[in-house]
Amino acid sequence: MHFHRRLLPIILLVTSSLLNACTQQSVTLAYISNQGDNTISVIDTKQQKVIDTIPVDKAPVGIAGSATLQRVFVTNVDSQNISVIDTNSNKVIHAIPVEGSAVGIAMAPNDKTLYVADWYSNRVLAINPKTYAILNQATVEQAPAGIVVSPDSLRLYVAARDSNEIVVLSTNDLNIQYRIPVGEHPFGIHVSADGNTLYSVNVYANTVSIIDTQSWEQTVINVGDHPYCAVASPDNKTLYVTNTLDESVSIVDLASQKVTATIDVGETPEGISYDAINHRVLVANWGENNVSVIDATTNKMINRITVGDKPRAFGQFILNKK
Amino acid sequence: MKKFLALIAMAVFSASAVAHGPTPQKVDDRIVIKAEPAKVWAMVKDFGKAEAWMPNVANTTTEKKGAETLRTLTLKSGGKLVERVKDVDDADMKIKFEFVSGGPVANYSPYISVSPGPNAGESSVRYFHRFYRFYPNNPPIPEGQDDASAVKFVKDTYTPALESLKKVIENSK
Repeated sequence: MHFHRRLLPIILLVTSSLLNACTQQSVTLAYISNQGDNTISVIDTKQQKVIDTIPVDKAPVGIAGSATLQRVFVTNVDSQNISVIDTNSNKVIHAIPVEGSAVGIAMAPNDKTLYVADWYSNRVLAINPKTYAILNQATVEQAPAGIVVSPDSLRLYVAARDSNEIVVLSTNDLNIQYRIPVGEHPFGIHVSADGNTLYSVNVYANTVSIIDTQSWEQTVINVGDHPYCAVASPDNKTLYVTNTLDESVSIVDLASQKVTATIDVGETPEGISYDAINHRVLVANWGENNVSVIDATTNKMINRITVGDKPRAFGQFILNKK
Repeated sequence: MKKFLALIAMAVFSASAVAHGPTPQKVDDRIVIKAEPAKVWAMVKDFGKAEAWMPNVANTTTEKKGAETLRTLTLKSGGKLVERVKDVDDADMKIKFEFVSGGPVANYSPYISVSPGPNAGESSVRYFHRFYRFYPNNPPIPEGQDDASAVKFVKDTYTPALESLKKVIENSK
């Protein structure tokens, strides 16, 4: 086969853009909400560096996203709204007004509904992530904080912070199905990738409740001082818990349900998410304005990335961009 | 009248452990002291004698309540601050408190840590404060209970302490 000399650059160009398209497919981004300076730091988790900083509204806290919809949603608690970010341009394209104090936010895995917890008004809202229409709302007492949707998108789990319970709602009608008592002041909440286990982080009790989502049986384990959030590895073998007043992350072996290691991260670690592509855990250190990167194969901290002021990153903040 | 108002303020500003606002505030004070860490830590950990280095404290009293230790700082201005002593860690040279009452703050757990360096014979001291404003709900926020009032209270009360600690230790040879 013989290529014409003039065609060769064109072929190379096409090949190179195809390669670019492939590389882009594997980009994993972390969207870190900086409550102190009203911005979102966007981290390329493979390169471990901030590639963009997006101004949002006042006091951003909660983060949820959808790779399919190419959107990230941010709760701005002091502006009483939600910023909608287009992940292609990393620009805010809309603000959804939410009266009250929207903090916790979660996207259904089927990308059909966005859920928001308004903790002072004791309600949970269901929002259409494409039209921004409020589809439904339910009263969930008291002080709904962390929220998460089951992998089959059928159940919504809500940490009712001031009534020390996990409230389980049906996503069809937002009716409450169960109320599960946990330790004092549950805040962060997480569900395993297979949907069988729910984790509630109980701040004042210094514990994590490991809850079977079929039988509702519960095991309680002690972690560090003032734990906030937790994330499990996709194989559900390891749980990572941020301890805000110990500057550490507890590593829990889920087979034995024991803390096997505690690693120092940074000042006041809060939000935590798992990067399944690069096998790393990212932790937002509120008190130190950086994000710790933990290698999930060795469970050692390998890097700290400087972000904006007072990062919270409350929610599932990592997006595997398509 | 002023004293009377201060008493009312104290009664009102009893930090609730349950409800707090959505935006935590931070005051992160640091200082380097030309003294060995052990010497600095000895003064910092002695929580019952805060007046030895906290310039606006007149005297300190401590009280055991079951497993809890509470200390009351009586300020030269007349106010009283109550703090629970959560943990005194000699290995890490770190003392943790939980604020109980006396200021327009909520959910407030400060700590003081001492670490060696940056140079030989020096200590780095950090007084770290994370707290919320007193008013837990949405605007309108009552006067004196907003984020700015909480930050001002913490800065006015605690920020002069590290400068003073440095002076006291460096002058006591």
